[in-house]
Amino acid sequence: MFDAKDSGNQEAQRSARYTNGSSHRANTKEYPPSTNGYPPSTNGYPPSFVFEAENAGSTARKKVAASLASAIDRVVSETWEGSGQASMAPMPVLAFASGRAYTQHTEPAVAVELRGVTKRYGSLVAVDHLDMAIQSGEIFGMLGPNGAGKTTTIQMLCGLLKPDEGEIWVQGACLSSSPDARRHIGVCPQQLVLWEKMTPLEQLVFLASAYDIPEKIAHTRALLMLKALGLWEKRDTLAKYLSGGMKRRLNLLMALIHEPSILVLDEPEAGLDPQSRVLVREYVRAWVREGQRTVILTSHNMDEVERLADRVAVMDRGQLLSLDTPDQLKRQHQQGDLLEIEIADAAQPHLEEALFVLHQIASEVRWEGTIVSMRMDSLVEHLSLVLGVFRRFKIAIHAVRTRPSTLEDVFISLTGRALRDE
Amino acid sequence: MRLWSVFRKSIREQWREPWGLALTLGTAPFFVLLYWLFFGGTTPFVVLVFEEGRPPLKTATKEEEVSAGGQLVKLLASLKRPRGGALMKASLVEGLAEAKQRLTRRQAAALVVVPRGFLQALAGADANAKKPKLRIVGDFTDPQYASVAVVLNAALQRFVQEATNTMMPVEVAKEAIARSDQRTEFENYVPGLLILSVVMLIFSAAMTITYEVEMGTLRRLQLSNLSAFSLLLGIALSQVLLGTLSVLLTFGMAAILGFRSQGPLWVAILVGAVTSLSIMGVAMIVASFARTVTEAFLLSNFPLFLLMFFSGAIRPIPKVPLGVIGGREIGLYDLLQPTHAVVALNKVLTFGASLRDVVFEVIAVLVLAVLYFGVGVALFHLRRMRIA
Repeated sequence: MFDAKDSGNQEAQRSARYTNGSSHRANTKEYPPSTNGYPPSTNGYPPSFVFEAENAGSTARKKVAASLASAIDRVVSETWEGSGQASMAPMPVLAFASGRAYTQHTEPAVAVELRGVTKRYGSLVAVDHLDMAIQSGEIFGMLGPNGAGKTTTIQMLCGLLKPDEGEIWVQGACLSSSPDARRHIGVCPQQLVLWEKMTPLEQLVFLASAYDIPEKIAHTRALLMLKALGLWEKRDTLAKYLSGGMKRRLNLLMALIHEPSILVLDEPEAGLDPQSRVLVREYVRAWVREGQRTVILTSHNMDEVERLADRVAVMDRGQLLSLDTPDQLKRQHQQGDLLEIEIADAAQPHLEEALFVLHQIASEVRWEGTIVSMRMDSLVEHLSLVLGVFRRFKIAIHAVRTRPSTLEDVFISLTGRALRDE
Repeated sequence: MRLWSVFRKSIREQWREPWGLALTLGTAPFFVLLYWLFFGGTTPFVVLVFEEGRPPLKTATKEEEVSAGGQLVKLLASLKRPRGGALMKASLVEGLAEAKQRLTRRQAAALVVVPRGFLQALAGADANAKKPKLRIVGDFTDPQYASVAVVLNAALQRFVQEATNTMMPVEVAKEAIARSDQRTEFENYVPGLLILSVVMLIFSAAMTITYEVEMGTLRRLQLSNLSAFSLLLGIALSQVLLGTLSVLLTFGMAAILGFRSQGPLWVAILVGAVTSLSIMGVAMIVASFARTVTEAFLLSNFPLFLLMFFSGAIRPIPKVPLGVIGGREIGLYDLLQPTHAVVALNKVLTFGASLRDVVFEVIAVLVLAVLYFGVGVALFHLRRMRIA
C-alpha cells in the first residue's frame, strides 16, 4: 500500500477530487469537503417556479411572469381549494423514488486510482488529465458518448495501455512499476471473447492456469461458477454451440475465474434476455457484496447503470464532467421530471395561451398533436398547478403520464445531443 | 445488370484487401525476379573432376598440372551456352570422398573420374588392349545429373579426340553414388513432399496464433501476464507435434505405396520434427503482421514459396555463397531451414546416412529454429503484446 507521505497525498487528492467534481478541468458545482470522502447531499430541490420565472431572460418575460404568478396563484387557489382536494395524498403515480441511498459511512479503501492520467493518439487527446478514485466495494459506472475516452481509460487501468502522463494505482500498487497488479482486475468485454472450440469448463480451467491457479482448485471453482450462472448443464458443450445468452454469461465468468478484486464490465447486459439480465445483475451484486469487491461498469444503457451503479462518472472528450451517485447527479443536473398530458382534442381554442402559462411553470414545454409534454422540478408539488392551468383554460385532459428524471437526462444535459463519431 | 453489380462489388472488395491483392498479383513476378537475380538464366552446372594418381595441387609440377584432369577442366570451363555464358563450372578435386560428399549435399551436379595415366594409355594402346574408361559419378535422384551427364558425355568424347588427335571413341560409364540408381521416380519425390508437409505448418501455426488476436482472447491472456514466449512456445510445441504426426503419416502412406528408406527412418522423422520446430519462427513472424486469420493465410503463402523454391526441396538450386564458417561454405539459402532438411533427408532416405552423418544439418536447423523463434517472439511481442 502507500507509505505515510503517499497516504497523505492520497487523502488530499481525494478531498480535492470531491470538492471539484473529480476533475480539475471539469467545470462543475463545488461542494465543501465531506468527512466521509463522499460529497454531501444537496438535499432539497430548487424553487422551481419562481426561480425559473425570474431567470426567464428578458424584462418583458419577467413582467409577464410576475403577473402570471398571481394569476396562477388564483388558479391554484381556485383549483386546489375549490376542488376540495387539499387534504388528498399525492397521486400514487407520482410517488416514485429510486430507493437508492449511498449508505457507506466508513472510509472506504481505494481500489483504483487515476492521478492526472493522460493518453494521446497523435494530436488527439483521448484522456485528458483524469483524476478519479474508485472505492472498494462499490459498483462504479462510467458513462460517456463514443470517443469520450472510456475505453482508453479502461484499457489503461487494466494495464493494456500505458498512460502518457500520470499514474494508475490498483489496490495500492502503481501499474507502471508493478504490472502484476493487473491480476487484481478481471475484464468482461462487450464482445464475446471465448475460445469457440473449447467447452466452458475447459476454457475456465485453461484461463485459470494462465494465472497460475492449480488445476484442481480451478476445476472446482469453475464448476461452482458454472452452477451459479446456470451453465452447469452446458459445462461440456463447445462454446460455439452455446446460445448467445449463455456465451455472455460464460464471458462474465471468464473475467472472474482468477478471483479478481476488481471487475470491469463493458455493457454486461447487452444481448441478454430479461431472465439472464436479472441473473447476471444479482450475481454481480452478490459478488461485490461477498468480498468488498469493486465493479467498474461501462455502458450506453443508462437504465442498466442507474440500476447497478453506486456512483457514476460521466466523461466526454477525455475529461471527467461529473462524478457522483446517480441520485445526486440527477439532482445536480436535473432538468426536471417529465409530465405528459394527453388532451382530448388538439384544436382547443385556448391551448396556446395555456402553453404560454405552462412555460412559466415548466423548464421545457413541447406540444405535438394531442400530447403536451413538459419538464419540471418537483413534479409532485406542481402537478395540481399544471392541472389547474388546463382547467382554467377549459382544456379537457384525456390522460396524464409522468416520468421521473433519469440518468439519461443527466447524460444528455452534460454531453449534449450532437452525434459522436466512434 | 445483377452480374455487373456483383462483378463490381467483387472488384471493389479485392481492391480494398491490399495484402491479398499484393500477394495474388505480386508473388509470381517477384519470384521470377528473384530467380533471375540469383541465377540470371545462365547458371552453370557445377562439375568436379578427379584424376586418379594426380599429386596434390600444391605440390604438382608444371608438367603434371597440364595432365588429363587439368586439360579436361579447361575444356569443360570453355563450353558456352548457345546464348552465351558458361555451361559448366568445373574444378579439380583432390579426394574422391570429398567429391562424393559434395555430390551428396547436391553442391555439385556430377563428378568425372579420370583414371591414372589416362591419356598416355589411350595414346599407347593397341587395338586389342583394354581401353581405359572415364566415369561420370552422380546422384541419380538429382534432376541436374540427368542433364549434365548428357552434356558431359559429348564433352568427354571431344576431349579425347582433341587430346589424342584421333576419332577414337572413349567408353564413359555412369556411376551412381550410394544407391541412388535404385531409387524410383516416386521415391525421388518423397523427401520434397515431406518438406512440403512440414513447411505447410506455417499456415496452421500462423492462423492459430492470429486466431487469438482476432478473437480478442490474446487480450485475456495478456491480463494474466502471460508472456509472448509462453504463448508462442505453447502453440509452437502443439504444432510441432502436428508436424511430426504429419511426417509419420506421409512416411506411412509412402511406405504403403512402395517407398523404401535407405537409412534409419527415425532419423528422417527426427529431421522432420526439428524442421517443424524451426518453421514455427516463420509462422510467428507471419502472425506478427496478420490481424485476421484470413490475412495470416494469405501472408503465409509468401514464406511457403520462398522456403519451397529456394531450399532445393522442389529442384536443387546452385549456391549463392556468402562466406565460410568453420571451413564450410555458407550460401544465401542456408539461411532457410528446409535447405538443410532437404540435404539431411536426401542423405538418410537416398544414401542411407545415419544420425552421425546428418549432425551438421540437424544442428544448422536447430540454430535457425532458435534464430527465427527469437525474431518471431520479439516481433509478436512488439506488434501484438507490447503495452504502449
